[in-house]
Amino acid sequence: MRTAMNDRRLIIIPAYNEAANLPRVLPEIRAAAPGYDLVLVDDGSRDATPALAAAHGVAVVSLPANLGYGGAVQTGFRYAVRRGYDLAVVIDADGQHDPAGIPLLAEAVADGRADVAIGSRFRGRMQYHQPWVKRAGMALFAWVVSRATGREVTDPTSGFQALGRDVLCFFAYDNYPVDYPDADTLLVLHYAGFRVIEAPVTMRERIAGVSMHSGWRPFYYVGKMALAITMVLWRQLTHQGARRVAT
Amino acid sequence: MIDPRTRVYMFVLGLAVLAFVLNLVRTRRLQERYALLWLLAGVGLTLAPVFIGQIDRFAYMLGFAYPPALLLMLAVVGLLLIIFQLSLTISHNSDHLKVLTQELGLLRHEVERLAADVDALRGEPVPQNPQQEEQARG
Repeated sequence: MRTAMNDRRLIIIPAYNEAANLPRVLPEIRAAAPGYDLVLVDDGSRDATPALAAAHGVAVVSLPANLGYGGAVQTGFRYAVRRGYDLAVVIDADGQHDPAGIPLLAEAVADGRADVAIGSRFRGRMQYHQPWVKRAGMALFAWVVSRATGREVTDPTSGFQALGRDVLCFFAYDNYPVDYPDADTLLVLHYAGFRVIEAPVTMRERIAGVSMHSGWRPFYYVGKMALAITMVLWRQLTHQGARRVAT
Repeated sequence: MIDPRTRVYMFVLGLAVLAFVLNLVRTRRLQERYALLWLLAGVGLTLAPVFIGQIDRFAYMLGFAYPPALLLMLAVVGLLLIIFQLSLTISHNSDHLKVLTQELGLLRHEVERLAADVDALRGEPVPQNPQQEEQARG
């Protein structure tokens, strides 16, 4: 479908111990996005994740150690840049992101409406609940980002995103956190002059496995994010903000 | 005034720390940049019992009601400096590790792809993935 020379599209699937979900999620992604190449970045899984992905004919980049979500996604960005893809969509391997949203996000970037299109669960159908600490933090950070960027942001933690080539270059070597890209990353994008839009998507509960948002994690998350956002704003004030690098 | 024996113990302890750290540097088990703060600590430990009278007077001059508190404070600040240096180093190393891990994953992918291409050109069977390859060998 989409195989024109100037429109090469990649789907990046960061995965850590997702063998239980892959047999259902991978065909779902394939069906929802024909014509896209798939790369699964295996973040040091100890289960059959890489073997399963390879068996489904997906290109597998296996990290020798667990880096964290952002580190895995950034590996995908670098893969995309080096292989000359024009557009990449990041989607989780655990089935939380409904692949039906892929074309919607990709088109927003492909037709030039945005450099980054983020799938927002709050603009789409809500099928998801979070611990209250994290929910409160997310609301606060979304408000800060909305104020700073002058654009309403409802779901800054969404990892379901489509990114154009310039943004892929921007993130491939720098400007991207190793743990979780979040509200701070959106601010960095805004200050670097990229256009970010949100599009409604459906998010579901995980099909199998344990969520990363449990126990004390929400408290750590809120503290870390508050610090990260403060730093982005501070750097901007001192004119050391994010800058696009020539790639 | 502090017991002369205690001063001797402290002096010897300081010399031991210096010798220990210097020896680690000599045998290349400790890099110079991480040795410096420990050497400073060793020098402090060695000199403090020698100049204990001056230190006490200096502490009173600074307004310490209890002069040894000055030494304790300096010790804590010194340890914090050393720990902080380690935190900086860890951050730096994490960045490097991240890049290395990513590049290793990408390169391995590339090598496997090229190896598959080469095997295909030679008309040999192509291993699907490393696990199967290992199982086939094992």
